[in-house]
Amino acid sequence: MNTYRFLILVMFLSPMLLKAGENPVKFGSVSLEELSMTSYEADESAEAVVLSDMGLSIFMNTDSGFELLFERTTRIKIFNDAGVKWGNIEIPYYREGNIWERILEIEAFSYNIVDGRVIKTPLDINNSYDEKVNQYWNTKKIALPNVKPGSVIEYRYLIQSQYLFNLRDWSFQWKIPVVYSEYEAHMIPFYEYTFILQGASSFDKQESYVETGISQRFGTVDYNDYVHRYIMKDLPAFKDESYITSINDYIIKMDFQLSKVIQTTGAVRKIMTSWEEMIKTLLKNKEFGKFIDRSEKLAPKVINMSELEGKSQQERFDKVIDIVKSNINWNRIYGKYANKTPDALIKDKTGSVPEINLFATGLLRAAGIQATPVLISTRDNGTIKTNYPFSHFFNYVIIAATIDGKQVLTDATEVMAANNRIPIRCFNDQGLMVTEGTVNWIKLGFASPSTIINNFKFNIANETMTVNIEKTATEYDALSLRIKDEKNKEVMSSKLSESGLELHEESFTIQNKKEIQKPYVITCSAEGSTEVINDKIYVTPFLNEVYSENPLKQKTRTYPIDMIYPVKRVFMAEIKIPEGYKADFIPSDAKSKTSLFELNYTAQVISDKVIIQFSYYFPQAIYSADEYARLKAYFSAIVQKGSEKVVLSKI
Amino acid sequence: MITHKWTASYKGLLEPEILAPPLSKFFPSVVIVPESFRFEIPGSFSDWTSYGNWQHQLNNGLMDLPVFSVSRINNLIKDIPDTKEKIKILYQNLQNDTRYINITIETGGMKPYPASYVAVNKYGDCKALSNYFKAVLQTIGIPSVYAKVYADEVIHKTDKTFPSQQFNHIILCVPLEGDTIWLDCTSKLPFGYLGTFTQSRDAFLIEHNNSHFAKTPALQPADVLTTRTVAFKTDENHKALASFSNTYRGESFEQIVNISKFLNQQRQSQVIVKNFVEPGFEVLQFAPIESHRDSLVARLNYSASSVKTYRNYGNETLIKILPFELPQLENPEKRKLPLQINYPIWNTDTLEYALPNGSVLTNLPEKQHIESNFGHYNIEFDCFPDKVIVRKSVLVKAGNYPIDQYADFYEFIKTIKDYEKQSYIITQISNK
Repeated sequence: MNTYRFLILVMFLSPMLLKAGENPVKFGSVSLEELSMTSYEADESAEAVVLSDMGLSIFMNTDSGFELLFERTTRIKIFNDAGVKWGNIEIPYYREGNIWERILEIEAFSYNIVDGRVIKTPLDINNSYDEKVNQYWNTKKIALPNVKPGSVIEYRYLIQSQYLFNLRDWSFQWKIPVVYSEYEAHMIPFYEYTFILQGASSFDKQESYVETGISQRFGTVDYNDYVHRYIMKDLPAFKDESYITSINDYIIKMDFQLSKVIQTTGAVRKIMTSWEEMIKTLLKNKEFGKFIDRSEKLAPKVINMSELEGKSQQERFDKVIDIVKSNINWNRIYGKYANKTPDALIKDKTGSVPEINLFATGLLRAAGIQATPVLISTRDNGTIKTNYPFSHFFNYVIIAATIDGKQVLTDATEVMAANNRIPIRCFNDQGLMVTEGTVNWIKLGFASPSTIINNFKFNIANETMTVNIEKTATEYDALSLRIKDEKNKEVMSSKLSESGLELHEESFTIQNKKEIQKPYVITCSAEGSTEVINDKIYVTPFLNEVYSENPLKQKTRTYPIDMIYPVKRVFMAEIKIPEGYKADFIPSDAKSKTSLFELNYTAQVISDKVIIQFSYYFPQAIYSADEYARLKAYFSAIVQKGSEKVVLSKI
Repeated sequence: MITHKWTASYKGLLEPEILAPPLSKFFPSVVIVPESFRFEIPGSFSDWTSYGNWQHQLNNGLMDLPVFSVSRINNLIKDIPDTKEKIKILYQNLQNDTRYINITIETGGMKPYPASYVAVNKYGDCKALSNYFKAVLQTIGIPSVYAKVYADEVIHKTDKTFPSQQFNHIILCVPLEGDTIWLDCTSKLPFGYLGTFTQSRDAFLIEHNNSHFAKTPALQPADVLTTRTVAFKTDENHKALASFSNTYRGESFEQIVNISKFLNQQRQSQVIVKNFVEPGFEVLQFAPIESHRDSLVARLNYSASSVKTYRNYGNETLIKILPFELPQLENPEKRKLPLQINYPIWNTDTLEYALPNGSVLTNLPEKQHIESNFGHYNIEFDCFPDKVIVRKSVLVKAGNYPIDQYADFYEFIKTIKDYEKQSYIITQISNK
C-alpha cells in the first residue's frame, strides 16, 4: 500500500539569511524567440508549455487586521489547436461567512507575429464573467483575445484575501510542461505556516532571508518580512491515467497551512497542534462531539430501549443501525460537521453524512455499544497524510463500533451495504479514530475477496440450446449488483442477446434482494440456436461473462493500479453431450499462482458431460505501477481462457 | 386575466432507443410562444416571415469590421480570381484565427456579438462567428445568409406549421451560382463540410421579407464509407498478428479530426485505442493519425494481436472472420419508437487471412448476398494455396420508417449478424 507514496516533506518555515536571484521573465515583454518557438524541446508532443509561472504572497496590515495579497504572473506558449484552450483562464476565489477574497486586478495579453510584426492584444476586462461553483467558491472566467497556435499569452492577477488559514497552494506542475515555476511567500512574525511538498523530494532552488530596509510596525513589534522562495524548473506535463484515486494525490505541488498565530503580547495560539489536540477540540465542538452526546440523550425517542434488554451486542448494533438506515435519508452531502441539531435531524428525517453517522454513534452508545466516529477522506478527495495534523483534509465521517471485542466499521448512509461494511467511496487508505487521549488510525480497505460465481448448465437438442444460469455475488460485488437492482435484468438480457441467446423473461429471479447479509443471487434461463459449423457443435462454456478484451490498454503506466478491493471470479460450466455426439475437443488445463494473481482452468469429460471450471483471483486491492506489465499479461490470460470453446462431433 | 389549462397524461415510461427520433418528440407537451413580443426590438411569431424579419433587424448594424480586418481580408484574396477559392481561403483563415467560446449570459440568447468584437478578440459563439464571417464575405462583395438550425447527431424535425424558436445553432449559407456552400463557422472540419451535426436539416434562412427554409445537404453513402484492409497471420501459439489500414469518413472521420486537433498526443492515442481499435485486439504499434485539411478521409494504421482469430481445436484451426460493427438493436417486441436512421452506414472490408503453417483449407462459408429495402450485405471469398481473401460490404440507407417496419429492419440486421457470427474459415493440419 505504501509503495506509491511520494516522499512527504514537512518543515517549519524559518528564516535563513540567503540572497534571492532574479526573475527570468518580465511581464509585458515577450521575446521573438518565444514567439517563434514551434515546439518544446523536452516534450515535442506538448500542445502548449508554461514558460513561466510565478506566485507571490504578501501580508498587508489593514484596519481590520492582516490580509493576504496574492499575485500570480503566468506566461504560456501555445503550439497547436489543442493548446488554444489554455487561453481560457479561470480564477477561483473564496467566500465563507464574513471572510472573503476579492480579485483586485487582472491584466492579460496575447502576443502574435503578424506579417513579421509582434501584435500585442490586451484583454478587455468587460469580457470576463463570474460563475458560482459552490457555496464557498466562485470563479472569474476570462477568455484571452486573439489566441491561436503560435501565440504567447500572459496574465497577471492580484487577489486580496482575508482567508489567512490557507495561504494559496502552489502547483508547480501542470497538465502541460512547465519551464520555470516560482513561489515566493513573505511571512510576518504573527502567523506561522507549515508546508508540505508532494510529488517531489526537493526544489531546484530554495532560499529564505529577512528582507532588508525599513522595518514595519504592528502593535509594539517592529519586524521585517521573512521571504521564502521556492523554484522548480523543467517539470514534465502531469499525465492523467485511469484507475487512480485523485489527481490531487500525485501532482507536484506545495500546500501551506497556518500552524500558529502569535499575538503581539507574545501569546501563541496553535492552529496546527497535534492529532491529540485536534481530537480534543472536535469532541468539544457542538457540531461534532456535543452532537454525539445530544444524540445519545435522544436515543429513547427513536429506539424502544426496553427491546434492547437482554440482546447481544451484535443484535443491539444491528438494531440501531437498521433504525437509522430505515428512518433517516441521506441527502448526498459529505462533511465532518453537523449543520443541524440531532433534534432537527429526527424531525426532518434527512441529513448529511456527519449528521447521520454522528447521530448513529450517539445511539449506539445509548444502546451500550462502544462506538467512535472515524474521520476519513473519500477516494476523490485525496489521501490523508498522517504526519500532517489538519482537520480540513477530512471530508467524511464513518463509525467504528466494537462488538464482542471486535472492531467493525459502519456507515449508516449506505442502506444497501451490510451494517458491518462501508461503501467503496470510503476506501482510501486510513481514517482517524476520534477518541479522547489516543491517536489511532484504522485501515479503510477490505482485504477479503469479493466473489462472483457463475454457473452455466447447457442442454443441447438439435438446433436449439438452452442454458440455465446462476450468478452468486458476495461482498462488494453483491453491493454493486444490489444498487443496480432493476437494471440487472436488462443487463443480463442484452448480454445474452450478444451471445445470440434470448432470455426467458419469466425465469429471471433474484434471491436475497433485501437480505443484505447474504449473497445476491440471480438465476435465469435462456435459449438460442446451437453454433454448428461443418457438422460440429461449438459451445462457449462461459458465454460472454468473462472479459472479452484486456481492460488495460496502455503500454506503460506511471501510477499504481487501484482495483479497489480483491476480486475473485469463478466460472463453472456443465455441458450435456447430446445423443449421437462425442467430445471432439476440450480446452487444455491451466494453472498459475503468484502472490499477485491466481488462475485455474480445468476441463474434463465425465460420462455424458463436459465439466469445466475456471477461476481467477486478484488478491491485492492496489498494484504498483511496476507490476503493470504483469497485470496486463494476467488479464490477457483471462481473456484467452475465458473465450475457449468445446467442440462436439458426431460419433 | 384569462387562464388556459392543458392536461395530458401518458402510460409507461418512455426510454431512449437506438436509431429513433429524439425522445422529446413523444412527450405530451405544450409549447407557448408570444404572438408579439419585444426583445430589444418588437417582433412577432405570427408567421415565419415576421419572425425572420425580427431576427434580421436584430442583427442589423452588427457587421462593421475594423480597418485592419478589411485590409487583411483584401490582402488574403488579392490574387485569387475564383470566388469559391476566395471563400475557402477566408474560411480557413477564420478557422486558424478564431476559437469557439460559449458565453451564455443574459444577452447571449438571440443577438450575435458584433463582427468587430470577433475581429478584436478572435473568439465568439456560433452567432458571433457566423455574423463575423458574413461580414467578412460582405467586404469582398459575396452575399451570404445567416441560417438557424437544430444541430445534433440525431435529426430533430422542425415543425414548420408552428413559427417559433426551434433552433440551437447558427450556420452560414453562401449561395453561389449552381453551388450553394454551407459553412459552420465554429467547426475545424474541412471547408464546406457540415457533417453529422447539421446535415440533412431544415435550415431557417434569415433574409429581409424573404426568410425561408432550405435543406442542408444530406450525407450520402460515399460520404460515410469506412474501409478496413487487414492482413492476418498467425504464429505457433495460434496468436493472430494483424495489420490494419483503415479509412474513415462521416462521423468517425469527424471524431478523429477533432481528437487530433483538440487532444494532446498522449490523450490522442488513449482515445483512439479505446474507441477505434477493433474490439478484442491488443495494439502493438500505432502510426500517428493521418488527415489533411481538405481531405474528408481519416486514415488509421496499426498492428495488433488477438487470441480469438485463429482458434485451434486439435488438428483443426477455425479462423474467425472479422465482423462488422452494426448497431445493437432492441427486440421488435420491446421497441416502442419508430425507426430513424439519420445518415447511411457503409462499410467495406478486404481481409486477408494467411493459413496456419502446414495447414490446408477444408471449409469456407458460402458466399452471400442479402438484399433489403434498408440496404444490402455481400461477402465473397478468394482462395489461394496459402491464404484466403474475404471481401465484404454492408450498406444501411438513411431514412424514417414507421414502427411497423421496425421488425423487418431488425431482421435485416440480425440476418447479417447471425451470418457473420457463424462465418469461419476452417483449416486442417495437412497430412503430407
